[in-house]
Amino acid sequence: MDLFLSITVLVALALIATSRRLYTARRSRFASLLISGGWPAVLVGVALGPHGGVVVTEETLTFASPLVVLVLGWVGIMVGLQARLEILRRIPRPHFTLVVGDIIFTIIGIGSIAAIGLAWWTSGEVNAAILITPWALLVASALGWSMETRSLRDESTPHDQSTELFLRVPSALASIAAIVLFGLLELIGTSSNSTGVQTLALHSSALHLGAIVALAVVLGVTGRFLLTRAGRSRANQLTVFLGLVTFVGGLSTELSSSPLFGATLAGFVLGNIATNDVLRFERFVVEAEHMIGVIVFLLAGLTADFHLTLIGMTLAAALVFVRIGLKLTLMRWAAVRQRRMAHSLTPVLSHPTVIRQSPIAVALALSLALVEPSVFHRRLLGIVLIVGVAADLASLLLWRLSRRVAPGSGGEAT
Amino acid sequence: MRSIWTIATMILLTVFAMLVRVGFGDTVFTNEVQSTLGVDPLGIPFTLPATGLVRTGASVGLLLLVAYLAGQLAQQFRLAAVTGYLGIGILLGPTALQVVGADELPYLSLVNDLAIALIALIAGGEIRLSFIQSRWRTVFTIASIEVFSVLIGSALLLPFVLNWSGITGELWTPLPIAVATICATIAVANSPAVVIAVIAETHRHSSMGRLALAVTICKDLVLVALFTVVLAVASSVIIDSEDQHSRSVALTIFLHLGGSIAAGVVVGIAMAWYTHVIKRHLGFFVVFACFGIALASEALHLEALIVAVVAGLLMQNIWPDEMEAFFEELEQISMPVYCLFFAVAGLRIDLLALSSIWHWALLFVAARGLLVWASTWAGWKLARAASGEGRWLWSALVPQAGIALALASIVSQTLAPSPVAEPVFGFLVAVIAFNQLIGPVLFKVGLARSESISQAKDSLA
Repeated sequence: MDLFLSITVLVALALIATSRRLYTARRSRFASLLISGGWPAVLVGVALGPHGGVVVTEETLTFASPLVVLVLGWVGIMVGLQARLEILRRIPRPHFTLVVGDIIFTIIGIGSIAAIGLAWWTSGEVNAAILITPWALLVASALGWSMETRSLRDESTPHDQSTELFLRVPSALASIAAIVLFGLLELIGTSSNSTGVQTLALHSSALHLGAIVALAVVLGVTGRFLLTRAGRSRANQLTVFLGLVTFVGGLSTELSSSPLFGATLAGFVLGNIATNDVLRFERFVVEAEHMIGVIVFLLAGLTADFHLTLIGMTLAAALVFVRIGLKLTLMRWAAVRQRRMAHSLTPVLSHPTVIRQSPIAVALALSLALVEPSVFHRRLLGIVLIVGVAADLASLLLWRLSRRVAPGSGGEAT
Repeated sequence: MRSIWTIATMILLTVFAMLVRVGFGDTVFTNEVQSTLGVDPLGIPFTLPATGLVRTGASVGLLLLVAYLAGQLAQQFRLAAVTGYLGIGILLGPTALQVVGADELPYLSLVNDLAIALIALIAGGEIRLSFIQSRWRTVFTIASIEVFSVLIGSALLLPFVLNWSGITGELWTPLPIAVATICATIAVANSPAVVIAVIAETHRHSSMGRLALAVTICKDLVLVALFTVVLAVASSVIIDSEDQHSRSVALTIFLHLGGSIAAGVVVGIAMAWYTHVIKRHLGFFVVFACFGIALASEALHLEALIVAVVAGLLMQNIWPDEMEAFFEELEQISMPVYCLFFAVAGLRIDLLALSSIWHWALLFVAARGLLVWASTWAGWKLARAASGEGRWLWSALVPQAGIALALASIVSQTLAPSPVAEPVFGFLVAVIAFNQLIGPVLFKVGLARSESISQAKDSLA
C-alpha cells in the first residue's frame, strides 16, 4: 500500500512540476534536457525505492505489477497505433535506410559489447540461452534515439524542418523495431529458460508468438467494435481503452512476454483497420503521453538496482562510449549516402540528439523486471538508466562544444 | 443484431483468455511460480510473483471490457447497467466459470479502495447544502425512521431466520441475538454507489434522485458510527473475550468520525487548491487523489467514505464554479471504476454458499424490502412532504453493494475466532447479492415512475 501512497504523492509532485507556473524553471537548457529525459522522476523513484529511502519495499513493488502492466500496455498501444501502413508508405526511403543502418550498426557494435560484457559479468558460467533476453534488452535499448529535439535546438539558425523530420521519423521507426526485436528475442529466451534445460526451445517460442499475434488480432478486431460502440463519449472511450490496455498487457505477461510487445502489435492491428472512432481514440491516447512517461520513469527509478559491480559499471561505460561513436558514425554515413540531405546534416555535431537514448529503452527494461523481477534484471534496468543519463549529458557537452566552434547561439531553450 | 455482436465479443474475449490460461498455463512461469523462488544469472535468489498476481492485470482488463458490454446489454433490455456489471462478475467468478480465480481476489482489493473513495467524492459533490437546507426536515425524518425501523425490525426477525437456517443454535441465547444485531446493522446499509450510478446512467437528475442520494448518504454516515458500536459490543459477546474495551468505544467513535471529518476538510482544501491553481491532468489527479484518500485513511485508521464525502461536499458547496471541471472529470472517470467495482463485487459472491441458504436469504430480503417500503412511507408522511416523488423513494433504499460488502468483511474478520463467522458471512453475502441484483432494477423503475408522476402533475398544473 505504501507504494500507491508514494505514487500518489509523487504524481501530485509531477503534476505540479508540469504546470505552467513552473515553466520558467525549465528555460535553462540543462534543466530542460534533464526534465525532457524524465530524470527527475527517476531520481525521486530511486530516493524512495528499496535502495534509497526504503519508503517503498520490494514486496510492495511486486504487488504493483498490475499498475506496471497498465502503464506499459498504454505505451505499447501508443507506439503501435502510429505504425499505420498509410503513414509508413509516406515516409521517404532515406528514413528507412537510416533505421536499417541503425539496426545493423547497433547489433554489431552494441551487440558485441553486450555479449562480452554479459559473459564477463556472469563469469561465463551461465548457459548462453539464459543471456538471450538480457542481450536483447541491451541491444534494443540502444536502437534509435530521443525524439525530443527542442532541448538541443539552435535558435540562431533558421528552423530546419527536414532535419527535424530526419531525426524524429527514424527514431519513431526505431522504437517499433526495438520493441519487436526485444519481444521476439525475449520469447526465445524465456521459453528456453522455462523448459528447465536451458537450451533453445524454438517450437515453444513459436507457439507463444502465435498466441501473442492471435491476441493482437483478437484485440484489434474486438477493439474496433468496442470503440465504435464507445462513440464520442470520453467515459466510454476511457473504459474501453483501459480494458484493452490491461487485457493485452496482462495476457502478454502471462505468455512470458513484455506487455509492450503484445500491446504494440494490438495497436498496429487496431491502427490499420482505422475508422474515425479509432483515430479519435488515438488522439485520446496521445493526450496522456507526458503523464504516462513520468509514471514509467518513476516506476523505473523505484525498481532499478544500482548496486553494480566494477564489471557492471564497466559495461555501462562501454555502452555509452560505443553508443556515442556509433550514432555519430551513423549520421555521417547517412549524410554521405543522402547527398540531398547533406546540407542540413553536415554539421552533425549540431544534432547531438542522436546520442540521447530513446525513452522506449527504459520501458523495455522495466518490462523485463516486471516479467521476472530478479536482481539481475533490476541491475540491467539500472544500467539502462545510467546509459540514458550519461548519453544525455554527453549530448549536451557535444552541443556546447559545437557552439564554441560556431559561436553566437542562444543559451536558452524555448 | 447489435446484441448478438455484443454477446459474441464478450464470448470471444472470455474464451480467448481461458484458452491462453488453459493452453499456456503449464508452460508459463512453470518452474518459477511453482517453486516461487528463482535464481538469476548472477546466482542471486529472488521471489517470483504469484500466479494470482500475474493474472490480475489481464483479469482487470477482461472485467472492464466484458462488464462494459454487459452493462450495455443490460440497458438494451431496460435493466440497470450495474446489474450487467454484477452479473458478469458472478459468471466469471471463482464459483462459476473460474476465469478469474480466487487467488486473484486479494489483489483486486485496491479497486474497492479506489472505487469507494471515488464514489464517496461524487456523493459528496452531489450534496447541495442549499437543497438539504430546504429539505432537511424531509431528509432527517425519512433517514432516522428508516434506520430505526429496519434495525429493530431486522433484529427481531433475524434470530429466527438464522436459527431456521442452521447458522446459530438455540434461539434465546446471547449468541444468536448478538449475531442478529450485527446482521441487522448491515441490513440498514444502502448503496450510494448504485444510486449515483443509476442516476448518471439514466441522466435523471430529478429532485427524487437528489433526495434519494441525500437520504442514502446521511444513513451511511449514521451507519458507520452505529456499526462501530454494535460490532464492539456484539463481538465481545460472541467471542467471549475479556479484551474488548467497550469503555473506549465512545472515544474510538469520536476519533474515527472527528478525525475523518477533519481529514476530509484538509483533503477538500488541497484538491480545490490543485484544481484552481494547477488545473492540468485532472483525470490523473482524480485517480491518484482517490488512491491517496483510500490509502491514507487506511494508514490513519480513518473512514475513507467520510473523508471523501466531506471533501466532495466542501468542494462543491464552497467553490461551486471553480470545481465544475473537477466534477466533470470525476464523472468521466467514474464509468470504468463502476464497471470494475461492481464486477469485482460480483466475483466475491459465492454461488455454492448461496445455493444452500438462498431461500432463507431471500425471505429476509423480502422482509427487509417490506420494512424499507413501510418505513420510507411512514417517514414521508411524517415529514408532511407534499410532492408525489416520495412514493418511489423506497426503491433507492433497497440496493446494497460495496459498503455493505465491506462491513460484512469486517464482521467476518472480527468474528473469525468463532465458528459462526463463516456461515454468517455467507448469509450476509447472499442477502447483499439479492439486493445487488434486485435493487438497481427497482430504483431505475422508481426513478422513471417518479418522473412520470412529476410530469403528469406539471401538465395538470
